[in-house]
Amino acid sequence: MRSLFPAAALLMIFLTPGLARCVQDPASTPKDEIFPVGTLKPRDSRLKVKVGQKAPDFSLPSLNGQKVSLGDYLGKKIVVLSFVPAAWTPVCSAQWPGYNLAQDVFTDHNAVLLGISEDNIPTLYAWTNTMGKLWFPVLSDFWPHGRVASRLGILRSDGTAERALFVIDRKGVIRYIDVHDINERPVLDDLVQELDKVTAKEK
Amino acid sequence: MKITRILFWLGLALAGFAPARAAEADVSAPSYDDALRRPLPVPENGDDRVYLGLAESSGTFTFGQVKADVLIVEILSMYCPYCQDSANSVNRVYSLLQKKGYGARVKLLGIAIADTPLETKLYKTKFNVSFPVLSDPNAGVRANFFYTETPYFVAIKLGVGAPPTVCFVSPGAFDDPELFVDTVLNKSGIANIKE
Repeated sequence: MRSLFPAAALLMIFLTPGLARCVQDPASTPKDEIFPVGTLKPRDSRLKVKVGQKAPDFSLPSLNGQKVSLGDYLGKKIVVLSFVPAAWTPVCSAQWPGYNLAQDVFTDHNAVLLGISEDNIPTLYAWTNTMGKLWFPVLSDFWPHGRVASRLGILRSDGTAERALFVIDRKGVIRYIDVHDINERPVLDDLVQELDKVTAKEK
Repeated sequence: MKITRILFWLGLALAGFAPARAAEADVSAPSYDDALRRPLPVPENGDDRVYLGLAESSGTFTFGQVKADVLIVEILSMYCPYCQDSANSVNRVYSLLQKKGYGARVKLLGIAIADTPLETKLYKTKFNVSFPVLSDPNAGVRANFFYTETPYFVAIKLGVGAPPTVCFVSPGAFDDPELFVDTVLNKSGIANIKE
């Protein structure tokens, strides 16, 4: 009986509603599903391309099983590449859901968005499923690991990509590069402004 | 042995007082004081200003200036998939309040934290939101309200001559708009007060 006292006391303390209030309902805290990475070095790579250069072509597997190449859109659409560092991490888990809502912004500019990460396909599949149905292709630059990110000069030393945006015009020329502070989300306004510029130039 | 007995009685005492402490935390958390006093930008849209009962067309206002008995504040972000998922439920709350005759007494205000005005407008347009949604690009409101994730709902009781008080807080999305409305009406006491 004596040995039960400490256990009973601790149980009562933990079951006390006033204290239990501090514990969040998992159903309403998506944070529980996100790996905390803390504050990272804002930038950890050196760009190998610049605005005005032809973008290197690539072909990467997408979530639907098909390969997507940059060349597929040459002469047809403006291409926006959105590299995110890693699945299941903060900032990244919000950036694409925002773009998902902004579909009209891209279609109004006759642009396509390609989301790219260095994660493998199964990981990207599970992660993006939490975002609802994404309208844009999600591509994996997992193997050979980081080949596309490396060619662009945005592969970080830990194998993740920078949080980077590239706008490529219909001729395949890079018109905008934003290698963003990895800890922050780029605002949509800057991208819209650049799409406006490219669209105006192409008219 | 003495320590274990003390722990036992302490646990028992805490269990007994807990409901009162929890209720207290719901209605008068002092940490909301800064949030309730925080100046917010007057909406540019005239319909939004009319809905909130704001006379000025520019400058700032505080929650206490809103013409209503209760103001439900939704803290959201365009980038939050959970906010996107719950947008229709929140719209349903708005229409339920109109339908039940509480439209003028219980009002809704969205605050899009860390979203630019463009991002905020995009969210409002995409989900056909009928109530005002303010952009809070520096996330100042988030700093003042005690919360961890979006969406986050705070019901503020307003009254002439009385300071605004937080009467209900609901973190996360909710499943049942009808239940949410009933809860706000009950927690604020407005359900029992005739107009």
